[in-house]
Amino acid sequence: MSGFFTLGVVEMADAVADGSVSSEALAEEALQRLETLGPRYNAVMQIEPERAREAARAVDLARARGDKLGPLAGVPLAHKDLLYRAGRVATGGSLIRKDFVPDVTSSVLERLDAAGALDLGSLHLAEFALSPTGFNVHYGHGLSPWNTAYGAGGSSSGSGAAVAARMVPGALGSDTGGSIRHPSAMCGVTGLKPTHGLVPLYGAMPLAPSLDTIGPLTRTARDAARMMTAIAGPDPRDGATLPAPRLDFEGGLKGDLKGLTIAVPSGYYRELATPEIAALMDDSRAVLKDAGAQLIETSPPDMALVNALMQVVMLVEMSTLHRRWLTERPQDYSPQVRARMLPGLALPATRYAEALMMRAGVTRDWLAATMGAADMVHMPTLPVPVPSIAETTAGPPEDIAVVVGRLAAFTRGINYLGLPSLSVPCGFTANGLPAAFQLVGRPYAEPVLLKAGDAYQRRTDFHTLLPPGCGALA
Amino acid sequence: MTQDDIAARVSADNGITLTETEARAVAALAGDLNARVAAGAGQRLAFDAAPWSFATLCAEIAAGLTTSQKTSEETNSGAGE
Repeated sequence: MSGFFTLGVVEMADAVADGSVSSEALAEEALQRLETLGPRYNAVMQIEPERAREAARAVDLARARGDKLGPLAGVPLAHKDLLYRAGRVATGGSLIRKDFVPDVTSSVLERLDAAGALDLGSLHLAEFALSPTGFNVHYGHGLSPWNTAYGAGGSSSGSGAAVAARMVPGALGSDTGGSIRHPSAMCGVTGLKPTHGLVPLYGAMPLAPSLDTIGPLTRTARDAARMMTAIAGPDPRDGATLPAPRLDFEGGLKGDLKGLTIAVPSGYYRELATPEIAALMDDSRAVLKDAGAQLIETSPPDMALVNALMQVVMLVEMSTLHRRWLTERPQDYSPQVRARMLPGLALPATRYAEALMMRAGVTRDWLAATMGAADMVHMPTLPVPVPSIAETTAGPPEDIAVVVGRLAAFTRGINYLGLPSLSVPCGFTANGLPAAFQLVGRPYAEPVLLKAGDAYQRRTDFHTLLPPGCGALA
Repeated sequence: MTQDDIAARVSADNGITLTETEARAVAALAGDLNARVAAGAGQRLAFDAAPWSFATLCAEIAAGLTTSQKTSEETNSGAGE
């Protein structure tokens, strides 16, 4: 049996639950697609067929016995290669950790296991999760299924490409400055960066722990909601999650946005967007309005300060974590990644402490000015069309830095603010690559963001479109 | 601090030798961020006005979502269970 690759996470779980397909059949097809399409887009680090088959058989047996199945029972998934599973190499996209075998399993993978999901293996990422394009000198660049002259986006490159090319219906990624939202936007899939502290980070390779988050990349908002149901919530092994409320991610997905207000910020968020992106944003807002949402205009505060605060936190935390290797193994970093880490060593401790102390006040002010009385903020995920690999790798380093830096202009500040953000595909630019908007909410407002994303996807078909060459395998 | 000062500091504190190109880039970015954050802190941080914590703020906002938002049941189904 085959031909299930067009199904999403929820559809696969439902099909396994009602017996219309076996988990083993889903696993076999996904494994075949990972083996065939994975190398084409450089999306896969390691496939574990036997683990997947064994888990699939266990799900099928459980169903045959009449056992109660988990919300993801039998669904084949694969995840960014920085989420630890005891006994499996987790490279973090780096040369330094190419043989690192963790002795713990991350909380999120344990939770997916408990929900019945199959873990087929690990997916490509940028070196140490540090690139918005999917750039990786050691393992090659992550490539876009829409056009391999373009990157898949990073740092969760393989997660974006694997979902876009229908290798798996869902994958976890991590987001410190946009690393779930960039590949989601660039590959034309849906990605949720959760509130900081909603999803436990235990057993995930850190980049900057004050900013790091883990979340799903899926085809639809509904699928993201299902994965969040499995992975979110307090975990005693990650103290940041202890205040997190228990949320119902799926209950509000009814397609109607009546009573909701969406803020549309001017200033920074409008001025940096190209006319082509701005036009796609207008179109997407019209759909949300048609779904019943009310739109209001707002003005963001000084984003130069927010972005500087984020950079100080990220630079200091990552250079602290990497200092020993930067000293002892400098040759094992790519020059680009080393160059991005070094400035953290030159920032005074007082600036870092100030950046942490200002976080609550700056977040409160950003929410007041940018969201106001609205329920969420609508803005582009990327302010520009997806750049080609050539544009982000060739030429003077200063020019490349500008092109690459621009990609994170609308994402990195959100990590400092700790807010949830859902990236939703909303069309294509003239180069044929996907574009996306993001919906940013208050802390723990994921359910309302998913509700809006789901309502949008009920009225559009961008999330259903298949990249060329990603149909049924011969 | 000058580019040479920064290179010397990084070397002394961390044992890492920066190339001239690296030192120039580090000095430029660290200098810019240092100035921006110092200015922001000068305007915003007062001894008695410091927040208790970022987590506390998030919890306060989340509590507000379930108790005071105009359409809490419709817009944030199940939050705060």
